[in-house]
This record gives sequence, C-alpha cells and structure tokens, in this order.
Amino acid sequence: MSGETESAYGLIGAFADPHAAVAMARHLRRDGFRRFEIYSPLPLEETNEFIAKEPRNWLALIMFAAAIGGVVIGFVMQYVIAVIGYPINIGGRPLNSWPAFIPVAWEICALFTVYIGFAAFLAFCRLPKLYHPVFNAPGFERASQDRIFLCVETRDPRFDNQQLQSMFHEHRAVAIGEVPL
Amino acid sequence: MATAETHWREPVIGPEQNYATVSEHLSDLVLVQRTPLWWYAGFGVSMLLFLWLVVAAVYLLANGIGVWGVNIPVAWGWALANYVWWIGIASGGTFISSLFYLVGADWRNGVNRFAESLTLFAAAAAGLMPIFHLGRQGLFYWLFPYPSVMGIWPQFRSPLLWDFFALLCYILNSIVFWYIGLIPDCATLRDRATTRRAQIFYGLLALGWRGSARHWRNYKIVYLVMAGFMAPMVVSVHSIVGLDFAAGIAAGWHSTQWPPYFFIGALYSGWASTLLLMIPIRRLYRLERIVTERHIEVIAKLMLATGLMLAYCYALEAFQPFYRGDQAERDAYLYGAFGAHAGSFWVRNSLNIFLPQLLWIPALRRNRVLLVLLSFGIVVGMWFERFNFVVTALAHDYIPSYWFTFSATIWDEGILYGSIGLVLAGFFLFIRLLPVVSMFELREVIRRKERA
Amino acid sequence: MTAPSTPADLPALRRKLAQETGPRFWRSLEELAETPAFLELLQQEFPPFAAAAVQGFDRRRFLQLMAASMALGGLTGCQKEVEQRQLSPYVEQPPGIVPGLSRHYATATSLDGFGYGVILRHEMGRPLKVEGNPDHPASLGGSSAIGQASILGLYDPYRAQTITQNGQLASDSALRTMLVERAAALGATHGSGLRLLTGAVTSPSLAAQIDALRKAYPQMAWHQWEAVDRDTVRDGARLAFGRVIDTVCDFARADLVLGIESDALSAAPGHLRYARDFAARRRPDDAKSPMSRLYAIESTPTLLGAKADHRLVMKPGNIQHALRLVAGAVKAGPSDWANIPVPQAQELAGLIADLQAHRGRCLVHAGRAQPADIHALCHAINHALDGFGQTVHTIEPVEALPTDGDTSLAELVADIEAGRVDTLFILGVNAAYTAPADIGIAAALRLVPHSIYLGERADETAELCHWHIPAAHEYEMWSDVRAYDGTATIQQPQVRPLYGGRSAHEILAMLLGEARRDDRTALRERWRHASGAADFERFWTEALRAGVVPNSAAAPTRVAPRPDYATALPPPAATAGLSLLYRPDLGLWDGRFADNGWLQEMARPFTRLTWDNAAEIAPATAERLGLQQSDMVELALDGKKLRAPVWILPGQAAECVTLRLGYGRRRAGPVGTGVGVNAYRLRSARNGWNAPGLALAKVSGRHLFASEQHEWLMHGENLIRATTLEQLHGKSPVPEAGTSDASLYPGFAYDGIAWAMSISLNSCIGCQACVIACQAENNIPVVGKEEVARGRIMHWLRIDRYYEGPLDAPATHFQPVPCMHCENAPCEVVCPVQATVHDSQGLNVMVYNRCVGTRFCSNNCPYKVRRFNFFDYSGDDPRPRESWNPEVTVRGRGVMEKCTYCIQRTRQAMIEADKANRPIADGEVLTACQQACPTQAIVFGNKNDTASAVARRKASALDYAMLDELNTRPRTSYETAVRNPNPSIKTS
Repeated sequence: MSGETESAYGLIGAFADPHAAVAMARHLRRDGFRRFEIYSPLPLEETNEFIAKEPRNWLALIMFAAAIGGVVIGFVMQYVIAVIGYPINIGGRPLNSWPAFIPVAWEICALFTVYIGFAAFLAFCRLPKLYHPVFNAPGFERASQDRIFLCVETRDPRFDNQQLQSMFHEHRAVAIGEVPL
Repeated sequence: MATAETHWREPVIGPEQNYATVSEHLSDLVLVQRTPLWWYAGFGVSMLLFLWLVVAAVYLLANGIGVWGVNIPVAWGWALANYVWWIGIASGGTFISSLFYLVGADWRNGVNRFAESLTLFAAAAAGLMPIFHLGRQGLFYWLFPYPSVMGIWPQFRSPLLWDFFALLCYILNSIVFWYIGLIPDCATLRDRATTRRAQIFYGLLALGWRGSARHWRNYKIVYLVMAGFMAPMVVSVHSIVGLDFAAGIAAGWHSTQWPPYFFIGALYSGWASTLLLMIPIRRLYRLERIVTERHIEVIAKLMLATGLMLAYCYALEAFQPFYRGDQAERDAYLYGAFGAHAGSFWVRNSLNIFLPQLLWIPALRRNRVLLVLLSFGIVVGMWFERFNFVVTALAHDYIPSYWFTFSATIWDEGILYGSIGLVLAGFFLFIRLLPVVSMFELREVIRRKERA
Repeated sequence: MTAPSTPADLPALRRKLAQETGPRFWRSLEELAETPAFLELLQQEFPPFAAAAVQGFDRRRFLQLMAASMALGGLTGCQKEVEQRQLSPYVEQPPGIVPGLSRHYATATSLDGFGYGVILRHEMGRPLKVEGNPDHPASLGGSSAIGQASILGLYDPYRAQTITQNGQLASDSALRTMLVERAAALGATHGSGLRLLTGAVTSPSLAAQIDALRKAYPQMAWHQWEAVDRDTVRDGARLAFGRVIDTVCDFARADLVLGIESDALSAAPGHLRYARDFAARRRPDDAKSPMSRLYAIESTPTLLGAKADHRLVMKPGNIQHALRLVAGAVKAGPSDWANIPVPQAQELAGLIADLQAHRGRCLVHAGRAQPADIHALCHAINHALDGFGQTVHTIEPVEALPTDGDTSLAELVADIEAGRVDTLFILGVNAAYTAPADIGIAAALRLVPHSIYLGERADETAELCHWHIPAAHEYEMWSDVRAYDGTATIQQPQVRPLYGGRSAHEILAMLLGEARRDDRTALRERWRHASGAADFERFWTEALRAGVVPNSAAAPTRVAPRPDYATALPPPAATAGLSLLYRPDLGLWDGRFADNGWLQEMARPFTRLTWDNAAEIAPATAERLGLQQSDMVELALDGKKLRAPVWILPGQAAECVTLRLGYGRRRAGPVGTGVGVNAYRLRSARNGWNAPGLALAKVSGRHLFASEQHEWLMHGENLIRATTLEQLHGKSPVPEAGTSDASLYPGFAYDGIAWAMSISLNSCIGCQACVIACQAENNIPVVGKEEVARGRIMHWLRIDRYYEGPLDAPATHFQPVPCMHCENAPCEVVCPVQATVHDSQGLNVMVYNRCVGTRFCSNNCPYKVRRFNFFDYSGDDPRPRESWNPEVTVRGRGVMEKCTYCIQRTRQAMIEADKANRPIADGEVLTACQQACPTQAIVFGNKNDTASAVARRKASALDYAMLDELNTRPRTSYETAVRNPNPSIKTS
C-alpha cells in the first residue's frame, strides 16, 4: 500500500452507464470488497443487492407501527375526553359516539405515519449530514446529474489503488480519482 | 409500459432528452436564467391581490363578520364557499402525485411538482377561511385538542372539528410529501449552483443528500408508503368537508351523497387548476419536450371523465329530493335551481358540465387555448357550485318564516380575490426558486425508456 | 341653536370661582352652574340632541349617538340632578338592598288615560323590569308590549333633561319666577286667557287639582286632546243613551262574540283583561267552559279578527249596512233594516241565527275606529239580546272630562286666533305633531304670548312653545289613575326623576301658588278624604302594596237605549272609491313611543314590519292598481299629498288603504326621527279614522322595508296544526301527534326537574308582549333598521305569522317560536368547542364565553331560533349602562345567543327552594314571556311532575311538537289550533 493513499478516503470512479457501475460493483463483491458505495442521480433497483446488511423492511415496519399508534392514540384521546373526562350530554348522543370518532382517529393516524416515517427515513439515511468526504471527490457534483459514481474506501482491507485503477478502467469508468480525506 | 405507450401519439418525454439535458434545462431555469419580465408582472399582480386580502382581513378583524353579507338564516357565506373551493383545488395535486405514483403512470412525473406546489398554497388559502369566518377569530385555537379554557376540550362529534383535524393534518403531510420529493432535486441544484448563496441555500434544503444506494432504497420505501397514505387521506379530507354539510340537519344538506360529490368536484377543480397553470408555464419555460402534449392530453381526458362523474352527482342531487319526497328538501333544491341564487346554479352547470363536453373532440382537446379557457371555466364553475350549495340550503330551510337570501359585500369579495393573490404569489415564488418538474423522476423515466 | 357665549366668559367664571371660599364653595357651585353664562358655556361644549337628530337611522348612527349620549351624561353631570342621576352608588350598601335580591313595587301605567296595574322589579335599587299586576283587574298579571317597553322609556337617554326657554337652557328658579308672574297676571284677570291642554285624564287627583285651578281662575278653559281618542265611542253612547256612558265587557261570560273591527284585544281600555277572559273561553279541551264562537267584521285586520272563526272583510260603508241588517234582524232596529242588501249575506244570516240562539250570552264590541253609529248599533244589539247586565255592563264615564277632542282642540285654536289666549299650559300632549292637519294648532301655537309645555321630550310641540319643562316619567312621580272599570291605582314613583322631570301636579301646584308643595303629601291628603278610611295609614300602605285601591271600581248603572235612536243615526258612508283608514300603531300608539327602540324594532303582528309604517292595501287592490310590494305611492286627500311605500296585506278590505299613526316624526329623538311616514299630515278632524275619496298614484322609487318575516305561507310544512271543534268532538282524526321515540341508543334520563314549555296556538293573539318582555328580561339589544333588513334581528322569541286559505280573507295563525330546547339538540352536536350543551334538567344551554362563533349551530337549528352578534350590538345600544338586567350576561361581538328558558329565573327559584329545603312548586317559575302573556298562552314548568300545568298540557291529544319528524324531541310543544266555525255557514 502506498503512503499517499493513507490520507485518502477512497478511490472513486465515474460511470456514464448505470450497468457498467453495477457490473463493477458485482466484480468488487466477488473479489471480497465490502466497503464501497454507489452514488447515482436516480434510484437503481440493482444496487439494493449490495446493501443487504440490515433487514430492508424496518423502515416500512416503523411506519406501520406509527400508523397503528396513530389510530389508537387518536381514538383513545377522544374516548377519554368524551366518556371519562367530560361526560356531557351533547344533543342526546351517547357519550361514546364511536362512529363520530373515526375521522379524527384516521387523520391522526396519517399524520403520525408520515411524520414518523420521515424522521425514520432521515435516521436510516444518516441525514441531515451536510459534510461527507465523498463530496471532495473530483467532479462528484455530477453524481446528482448524469453520472454514476462508485467509491471504494481505503478502509477496506483489500483496498489496492493500482488494482482498483485497472478494474475501473476495464469497467469503462469515464473518470477515476482519489477522494481526499 | 412500452406497450402501453405505443398507441400514444406523443411520448411522455422527448426522445432526445437524457439525464444531462433534463438536469441542465430544469435547474438552469432556477439558477442561470435571469428573472423574466412576465414573472415580475405576474408576481406583482399577485402581490397586489394579496394586499387586498390583508386590507380585507384587517377590516374584518376590526369590525367583526358583520361586514360580510352573512345573516340568520344564511350564517355561512362566501368564506365557507371559498374554503371548500380551495380545498378542492388543493386535492388535485396530492391525488396526481400519490395515486398515479402508486399505479406507476409515467406521465405523472412530468406534472406532479406543479400540482403538489399548487396543493400547498391552495391548502394554505383554504386554511385561512375557517379562521376568518369565526365570530371570534382570535380564539380559533380552542379547536386544538388540549384543555384550553376552564380545562375544556373540543367536541369531537362536530364535523367542523373533523374538518379542522383533516385540514391541519393534510397541510402538514402535504408539506413533508412535497419536501421529500424535493430533496434529490435540491441536491442537483446544490451541485449545479455557481454562487455561494445558492449553494448554501440549496445545500441546506438538500440536507447533504448524496444519492447513495442506501439513500435511494430508503427513499423509495418511505415515498411509497407516504403515497399510500396520502391517496386515501386526500379522499378523506374532502369527504369530511362533505360531511360538514351531510352531518348537518338542514334540508338540502342532510344527504349521504355529499362526500363523493365533494371529492369528485375537488378532483375536477384540481385537474382544471393544474392545467390552467401548467400550460402557460410550459410555454414560458420552454418545457414542451419535458411536459409534452401527452401530459396535457391525459389530464384533459381525466377532466372529461371526472366531469362526467360530476354530472352523475348533479343528476343524483336532483333525483334524491324528489325520490325521498321530503317537502323541505324539494323546496330547497328547487330554490337553488330557480330561486334568488339560481344564477350560480346555472353557471355551475354550464361551466362544469355542458361546456367541458367539447373535450370529446380530440382536435379541441389538443387546442391549448381552449383548454386553458375550459379549465378556467371549470375553476370558476366549481366556486359557483360551492356557493350555491352553501347558501341555498340555508336560505331555504324548514321554517318558511325564516327563509331569506344572501347578498355579498365588498369585504366578502376582498377575502376571495385576495386569497387568489395569496396562492398565485406563492406559486410564482415556487417556480422561481425550485425546479418546476421533478428532475430525478424524469431520469427514472428516461432510464425506463432506455431499458424498454 | 345659538350659544352667544364667548371665550371672554371663561375668565369671568374663573374670577367668580376664585372669589368663592371655604364651605360656601360647594353650594355656590350649583348656583354657579345655573347662571346663564355657565349654561351657555355648557351649551357650546355639549351641542344638544336637536342638532344630532337627522333623517334616517342606521347602525352607524347608533355608534355616533352612543358617543353623543355619553356627552349628554357629562352634561347632566354638570347639573343639579347629579345625585339623582346616580341611582344606587354601591360605595356603602343602602339599607334594605341586598345584592342579587330583587324587590317589587306596584304602580300603574296609563294609555290614553286608562290605567293598567304593573309591578316593577328592582335590582340593587334600580327598576329594571315591568310585569303586570295580578291583583289589578285591568291586567291580572298580563302586560302589553307598550307596557313592557315603558321601562326603556324611563331610561331613555334622549328624554329632555333641562328646562328651556326659547330653546335656551333655563334654570329652575327662572321657571318658578315665570310661574309666579303668570299666576299673578292671570289672577288679575280671573284667568281669562288661561288655557290648559291635557290628554285624557282619569287621575282623580289631577282632576281635583284642575277643579281647584278652575275655582282660582274662573275664566280659564280646559281643553283635551288625544290623537287616538274615543270620541266615536262617546258619541255612540250619546246616540244610543243620550249621554256618555262607558261600557265594560265581560268576555268570560260571552259564548258568542261579534267584533266590529274590535280593538278589544289590542287597544280598548282594559284590553289586557278582555284578552285574558276571551282566551279563557277559547280552550277546546276545557270541559268547564265551552269554547266560544267568534265572528269578526272588519276592514283592516285586528288581533281579535285573527282569532275569528268567521271573519268577514268589508269596506267601512258595508260594515255600517251589515250591522244595520243585524240590528234589524234581532229587533234592535227598524224591521225594514232586516232586508238591506249587503255582501256576504249568507255568513250574516248564519251570524244572525247564532246571535238569536245565544240570547243573553253574546257580546258585540266595536273598535274606537268605527263611526258613532256603529257603536250605537252595538249598544242596541247588545240590549236587544239581553247582553246588558250579562256580558256588557255600563258605568259612569271614567274620564274626568269626557269631551270631544276635535271640537275641544278646534275651540282652543279659535280662541288663540281670536287673541283670547294669553297663557297656554300644555301638559304632555304633543299636539303640534298629532293634531289633525286641518286644525292649524302648529301655526296657532306661535301666536300664544306665553306657552308652557310639559313634555318628556324636546318634540315638535316643545319647539313651538316658549317654555319646555321636562316631564317626569310615570315611574318617577306620585299620582293616581283609574282603569277601564274605574278601579283606581295610586302610582308611586319607582325612582327619583333620572333627568329632573317635573310632574303635571307640580306645575299646577306652582300655578296655584302652593309653594314647595310635595306631590306625595298632596296625594295622601286627597286620598285621606276620598277613601274615608278609618285607619288611613293601613289603607295607604295596603293600596300602595297591592297597586289597587280596594273596591274603587265604578258601580254599574242601568241604562237603556232610546227607542228612537235609529232615527238619529247619521247615514252610512259611501262604499265607492278608495278610502284611507288611520289606525293606531301597536307599538308607537299615536307616536309618543317613537323614540323607544324596542317598540320600533318590534315586528308588527300582520305585516311583520319593523322601523316602518306603510300604505297597507289588499292584494286585490294592488292587482287593480298594478302595485308591487314596497312600491312608492302618493296618497292624495282633499288637496293634501303624502308619499308612502306599499305593503300588500292579505285580509285587508279591498279599496281600503290603512296607514298607521305615529310615524314620520320630525323631532322624536335620534331613534324615532324620520322613521316611516306621517299620517297626521293627511288626517282631518272630520274623518279621523276613515277618509273616503282617497286618490292613490304610483310614483317612482322603491322602499327598503325591514320585515322580520319574508314568507307568508307554510309551503306544506306541518308547522301549525289546525282543526275544528267539530272534528275534535267528532273524534275525527286530529293531526297525528309525533313520531315514535324508537332509538338505537338509550336516551338520557332527566330525573328531578325537566323544564318544558307548552304554547297554546288557541290563546296566542299575536300581541308581541312576550317578545318585548323577553327583550327586556334578557338584555337583547336593538340593532336598527339596516341590520334588521340584513336579517340580523336579535329577538330570542318571535311570533311567526302564517296565512291559510284565500288571499283576500285568509285565516291567520300566530306561532310564538322560542328555543325548542330539543333533547336531541342538533345545534349541540355540531359545535366544535362544547359551547352549547345540555344540562341536567334538559335545558339546551349556551356558554357565551366558550363560543368561538362558527355559527354551525344556527345552520343546524331547524327552527332558526339562534341569534348571532354580527357586530357589538350590546355595546352600540344607546341605553344607559344601569338599565341592563344584572341577572343576565350582556353578550359581546361574535357570540351566538338564544332563548334560555329564562335560566336566571329557574336558577333563582331552585336556590330559594334549596334554602327552604322544599321542591319547586308548579308555577313558581314564570319565564318572562309567560309572565307577560295576557292570555296565558305560554305554560312553563317541570314536565316530570305529572300534576304540573305543563305536563297536563303535554298530555292533551292536541299537543304536538314542531317538525317532530326530525326527531329533535323539542321540550317546547304547541297546542293544536282549534276553530269553532258555525256549521250552518259553508265557507268556501
């Protein structure tokens, strides 16, 4: 391992074609690389296979739980107020006018789901995170426009600058560069 | 997809478009292009209207709602009509971006950003109305679910309270739904921005979005679930607005058909207002290759279909009082159709039902000027529908001795026209500061086309 | 008005003040305040109201006037009455006044001279609410709208507050000096040149004083003028009996009543008593007293006519013919009368048969607006049918001077024009406004060398007189008054004069040289003689407490009509052509109440008009002349012209235009000035009630009416259920009573008290007393014509009026509509903030301070009984702060309000019952409307108590709930209207 790469975050290559980037990623995984990441200006279904670490449905589960919680909290709030807190005769209607409590319960459910879901999403994405080393990569601004980037981190035990360079080349990377730390 | 597209004359996006071109075109509109003159003009006019709203509101708050035309029995007037109207306009956007996302319609990606932004400002305008219309506006917060004064909570059997919750949750959710869709595009703007201020501004909005695989995967999940909730929510919101009236006992209001009736009307005005704004913007921003003829055609057809559904609702509205045979209800309907406010009744029928039948003819459907005119007509017609609906039932309730009419004052008008200014001003700011079409979703469309 | 004072006066005043030292300062400030210079200065500072009174009146005027009345408050503050203005300052508690405990004092009000016993409720020493006096024969606890509104008249900030001489403020001492001078001057001439002009006088003490005056000034003359006079009644008596006789009717004993445009329920002396007795005989389910039958023959609708089983609409001339026919048929007149051709002969035949069948049990009554011969004929018919002694009693005239007003006034004017009048005292008669146009009183008044006017307001007459002395309100003075049957009441002041008013007694006393005379002492002396009671103190306190002088009613006299009366009758009026009918207004009477906002805003029973009078014409006439509602027309009568808006009135006789008196005031204060059109400008002494030869021409322009009700018909809604006695007894189907109480959910249980109300459509005569009583009790603000026209009237209780049958002669239904207090209240369910909820007694309560004003409750109220404060109506109401009822919250802007079943009264009763540890007795709580109702149409109480009156009413088969198909389960229910038509008459 050469000295200058010690100070680097990793080696990054830009691809014009998503397939190429994915192909290279598959190659890397075959060779036992673990610490690499694909950055794309649009979602690529194929990339999901490279991040199968955490069970992928947690986020959905959390939102589901939020929905259930919303309904329960929404209804119980109304029930407690109308039946226990203030058992007032309103227009001769029964204290527990449960059909009338459904709309509010549903709205609260939707509110909880969307907001908790959003919070969970940010947490899972580690956002907001205004600085990240990969932003230092040359030409990385195109990662949000028309280029797919693949970055292999120096922390990866199998990291070898030369080998990776050639690998990028053979996968038709349009640009290769080091990501300074 | 591909098979589905073949029989379209126009593609959903220009074949020459690629990742780079859409990114450049759309972000340059915001970052590079100098503010065009028409924008200043439009924004100026909107702000003047908005100023009118401010004046009307101040006068209203100072003197009480007596300055309006409301009375006993017609205790609800324009404010409520405006409210229902704006909510309706708002619904369209959410519906496009949520439901058509779920069904995976590609054309949706060309227009959802317009529509959603419109939703936001329309919902805000709608939110003002119920507060203005209170007798003691300063105390609207007593509707929040907490023991406000003397430890009293709100009364959850009231449709108005359902409405309050629905509107509040709807506005809050729409903001998140709209914003989450903006994050990747803000990242693009951040990266393309040349000035420091723009970089910081969009950088903050982008929250440090990197478009990593993990980001995208979570994004897809959360957006899917949100869409799954927003679609039924928008249905519920306008249905609850319908319940405001259906749950009442007033003759002409007390009927189960209003929730769907209102929702369909809402979509209708939603499509119309979207077209109304989209067609000029498309032209002014040279978006013809991105927002193609097809988008317009699709929405035009949707409009036609929804118009037919609404026609069915109107027919039912006419049929039920006579079928049910309640004297008061019959009187109320006939009064609406032929009474003091009959004008609004026939305006609504003409603009909402009769004229839009022109859309059957493909040539007319593709005539953008006509489309704009028809859409405008529908937006106006929907207001008259709301007005007729709110006022006539009250003016002609069970007790003949208390039949009366409603006549608006200039302060009613100030609130309505002013609120239009509020919405337009917001919309102009949006088209100046943010990409009017979702860029990354266009990239998806392009990719799908490439793979097909 | 001019105020010649210049700033130069100020230093002068300062100097004067500077000279004052030590203890004399305070007393001398009063004197100072009366020096002309200072008064003129005030004049400049606070321009008097005459300046503020302009044409037209809307909400903005209210705001201005409120400010102005504050200014006036400041003005009074500078005056001698300062300690009287402040009623009961609560700095230290006055003896005997307990906060929250109300006290009651009896007195009487008078209308055209006749007294009606009232009891005033005092809170914290302030009289705040008028109720009828149950012990008084003319009231029996009932009251009229005018009586109810009298309390607002007492507090009216626009009453005259200062003595003026030629429009300038004058001092009390100046007045005394003037009177002494006049007394001296007149004494020298034995009072020739002294003239006294009063209204109808029944007050024994005032009459006595006037007699004393006549003794002191033998040459003087006493003239009398009432715009709404009873000349025709007196003339009728002269025609029939040869002398003036008052008749007292006994409706309780009348099985058959014939009303000739009778004002027996609306205006006749004793009408409240008559209404009570009449209603007592109109209870279909009352086994003891069979339901009476009522015929009415009239040209313009009357309250009595609205209740009639057979109402014949005729032109005045035809009425005269018809009554002659009846008289002839029942042997009360020449037999050849019996075949006079008249319209509606079939109905009349049925009537005649009925009359003969009810010999001795029938009663014929004619209104004061009918000509003398009608009254004579009524006497004759009553006599021929043995009515005298049975249903009609005759007594000696109650009035002290039963003279003909028109003649009397004409004489006065003649004397003035002949220069025979030197000093004219006008006691409370606004002659300049109410006198017929052809008696030029206004012009004449200017000729009088010394004219002194005692009047409550700076009105049209005050303007023309040299001196204007503010008159004390009836509730501010010691006096006495007699009722329709002669019963006397000693009027005790309820409060010291708020604005320094003087009483007529005081003025006459000064004229008689009785210096520093005290009305009370004088009154006591007079009654000490009159009563001849052994223990006078007991008599006095008892009389004051009860509000009635025991057995002071006039003894019946036996008289019989002259056999030849028929020959003396004047010929009937022509029946051809348009004629103009002048009628008193139910609220403004002759115009004296024009400054009373409650009465102005009271919807009239038939037109439902507020803030206006109109040319009321029959639909047929409107069609003939091509007139629409609220068109403007020009009424021309013997050369005089008047523009008036048209109101089309079903049940009005064709070719008859009715114009209500009392409107179009020029100087009636800010409330009444310029409201409506002035009928007096057309009225002539000759045709005081019915003027033939009217010419009517449509002119350009339309008028904006402020009517509370815009729809006349029920449109198939089952709001009012009506049937006939025949059907009822024939057990033929009464309109079905209610829907089933089936429900998925268990209802709420109301063990203990369940307040409920029942309103009898048979008893309600539409007199509006309950509406004004509710307004007085519940601090309901006046909103002004503009707001009423915009549909924002605030009355918690309204009396809906519906027509049934042919447009020209429809049956009229009155339906009082308060809050229904539904057990399944639709309003409560839709309130998002629990501002309106049910209480444990089933009341639908409104929590004002919780209301945010969504107004959904009003939309959801099928009965439309909720009212909303679109503006700060209470704040803008010009009435003085101290006149609001402290028991009831004054509502602010943006809050919904409605009938509470007078919750303040129910709560008070519950507290009293709790203290005594007893249940609330039935009838212990009277709602304001119930208490005011002269016919006991409204019954209120605990429906859980099966013995209670309300429970019994609700048990009746006639009881029904309005709109019960909505399953609102109202606590307020109605008694089906039952008519008792003559089976032999087949009405189309």
